[in-house]
Amino acid sequence: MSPTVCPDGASQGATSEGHFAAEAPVLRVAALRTEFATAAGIVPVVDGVDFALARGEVLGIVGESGSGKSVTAYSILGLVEPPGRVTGGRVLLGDIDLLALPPEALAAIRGARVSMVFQDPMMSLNPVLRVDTQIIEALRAHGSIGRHDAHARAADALARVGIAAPEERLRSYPHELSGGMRQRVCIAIAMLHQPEVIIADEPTTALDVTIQAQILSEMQALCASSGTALLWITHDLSVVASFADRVCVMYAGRIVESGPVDVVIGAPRHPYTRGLLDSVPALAAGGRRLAPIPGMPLAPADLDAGCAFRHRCARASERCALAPDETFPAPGRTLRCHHPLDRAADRDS
Amino acid sequence: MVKLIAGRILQGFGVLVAVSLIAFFGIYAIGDPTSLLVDPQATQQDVEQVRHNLGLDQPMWRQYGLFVGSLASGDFGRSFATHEPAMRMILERLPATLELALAAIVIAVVAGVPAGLAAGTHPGSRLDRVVMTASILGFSLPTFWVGLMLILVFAVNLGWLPSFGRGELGSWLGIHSSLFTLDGLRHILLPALNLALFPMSLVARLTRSGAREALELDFVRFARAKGISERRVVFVHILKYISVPIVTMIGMQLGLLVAFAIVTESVFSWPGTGKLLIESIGRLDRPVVVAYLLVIVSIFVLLNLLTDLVYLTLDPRVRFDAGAHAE
Ligand SMILES: Nc1ncnc2c1ncn2[C@@H]1O[C@H](COP(=O)(O)OP(=O)(O)OP(=O)(O)O)[C@@H](O)[C@H]1O
Ligand code: SF4
Ligand SMILES: [Mg+2]
Repeated sequence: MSPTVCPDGASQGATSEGHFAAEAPVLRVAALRTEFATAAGIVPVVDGVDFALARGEVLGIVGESGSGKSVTAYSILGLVEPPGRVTGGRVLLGDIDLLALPPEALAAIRGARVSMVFQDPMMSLNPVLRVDTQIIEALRAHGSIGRHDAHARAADALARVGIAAPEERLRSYPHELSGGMRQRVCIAIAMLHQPEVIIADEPTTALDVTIQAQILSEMQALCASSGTALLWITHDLSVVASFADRVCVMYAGRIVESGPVDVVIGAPRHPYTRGLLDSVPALAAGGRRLAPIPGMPLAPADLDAGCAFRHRCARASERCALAPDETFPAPGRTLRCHHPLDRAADRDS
Repeated sequence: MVKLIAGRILQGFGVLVAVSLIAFFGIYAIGDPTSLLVDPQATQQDVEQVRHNLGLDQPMWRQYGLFVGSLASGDFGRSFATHEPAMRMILERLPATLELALAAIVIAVVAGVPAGLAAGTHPGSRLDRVVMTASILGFSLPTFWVGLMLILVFAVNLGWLPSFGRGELGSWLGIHSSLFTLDGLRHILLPALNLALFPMSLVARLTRSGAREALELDFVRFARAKGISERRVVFVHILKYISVPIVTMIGMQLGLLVAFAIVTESVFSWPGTGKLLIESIGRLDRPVVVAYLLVIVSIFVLLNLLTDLVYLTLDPRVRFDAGAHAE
């Protein structure tokens, strides 16, 4: 299966993977580990996550609620709050390890070279500060700029994300704007300094479907025009199918399968990916019945040394009492499963 | 907006009537002040004469009616003891109490807000624990005991600061206050510190819990993700966001401080209304007590109104339905 509901067809072409294969990735996350101190002890929430983002690429991270997608995103920019703590791994932007940077140096990168958009546009703008204040402070954080210029650039940034009457909107407080408009403001802020990477943590989940599609395609176009790589976090596989170049499927803090989006969605090898696909109406392979994955994921505190998916997995065996190592079944593809599906098995199972 | 102000004033008026009634009949129930006022050797006839002069021989309802009647012409009655106009006695002492309460609230805010912010943005740190422990002490130690300790340490043992009176008064814009001279400031420091203890703990705790909650909110994370300085995150984003409850509480505390200055004023011989009230209750000097209560309640009502107005300017979300938003 290949991307079908792509809003404007931009996901193929210049941003596809092979094109940049030779280039060094702009962002590389390696063996990232983040733990939370809870009443039940220290629990890993992100456990050995690896991925790389090429220039201009769109990488989707998909997983159920609680799988550690947001914590992964926060870890990249040092935004994990206690009781959470990044305890291992590297986040390489070019050849700088963001995890090793002192706070001021990291702040200089946030919003300038790597920026972020959050899920809930109702909450990601400060309700007691005007929109212009919140845009201009982001401009000022990365270079001095006069009042007049700052204002002009702020208005320009709003216009670029499709906000009508930007002058007026600048003087508004967030609660005077609709959800979609607020998210556009956040995107405008994230794009201000033409970053190399934008991490988008379910930026459209809280919006209704038509606005979702609009924002999706606008963001894609903006990123394509500035060569910005996009890390798109979502629990919605159909969104990823429509416009990501590659996808990482996350389960219980680990990436269980990754690869080019059409390959992973067309021929998933991990039972969890298969389960996810079968629970999405638009993606369930022809003739297969819609089937939600049985059971619930374990809480991070209940994880043991085995495969975290085994109590929900039809293929589980004794071997699965020990977590599988990562394997590389094909170039650009990773997998963590003792009994992966193959294409034939997939058809008649 | 106008509706809000009018509502508040009307409400305040109702409270004033209720308070005057309670005070009037309360003191009537406690006893007859005449016996405290006349010479123990006086004849029964002299006593009757005094009672008649003070209007105490009238039935209670008549007395209240007369009181309300003369209120209309701005007369709050005269003190039974000194025969001075009661309101003038209160107003003469009021600046001393107000300046004390004001100094205390300033100390409470200047010390409490930064302490609360520091603790709230570093949850679980040593600083956090120190602030929490200090605030518990601030809540639970009795005011008079802390006052005596302050006197013992800073006035008696160290001899750094005076322990009683207002000191030299300065005047500025026609206001006479000990806040305007160095000597006056030295005098007010200990009592203000004493009075500040409780509101300081309250402000610190409220700021701490507000900051702690705000830290978890997406907009704080988003602000950080923009790369703005941590200072700006804390002092602009978080502080502005949590300022509404803090301001509300400060407004309420200021009224309470004026009322609760009584203990501190007694310990530090501060010539304010609190001290006057204690003396007046001892003498069953009803006009002074009633006038005091009316003034205090008016201050409360006024502060509440002011708090509401500040609240409206701080929180853009309520500005638009201010009419509906009475609280
Ligand atoms: N402050 C916290 N304290 C303890 N555990 C936390 C905290 N924040 C997150 N976690 C744990 O981390 C896990 C992953 O959370 P995360 O928010 O990354 O999930 P997610 O994949 O983004 O889910 P969603 O789709 O709901 O956003 C959760 O299961 C949760 O138990
Ligand atoms: S390792 Fe075993 S339990 Fe885990 S997904 Fe593969 S087959 Fe299922
Ligand atoms: Mg999330």
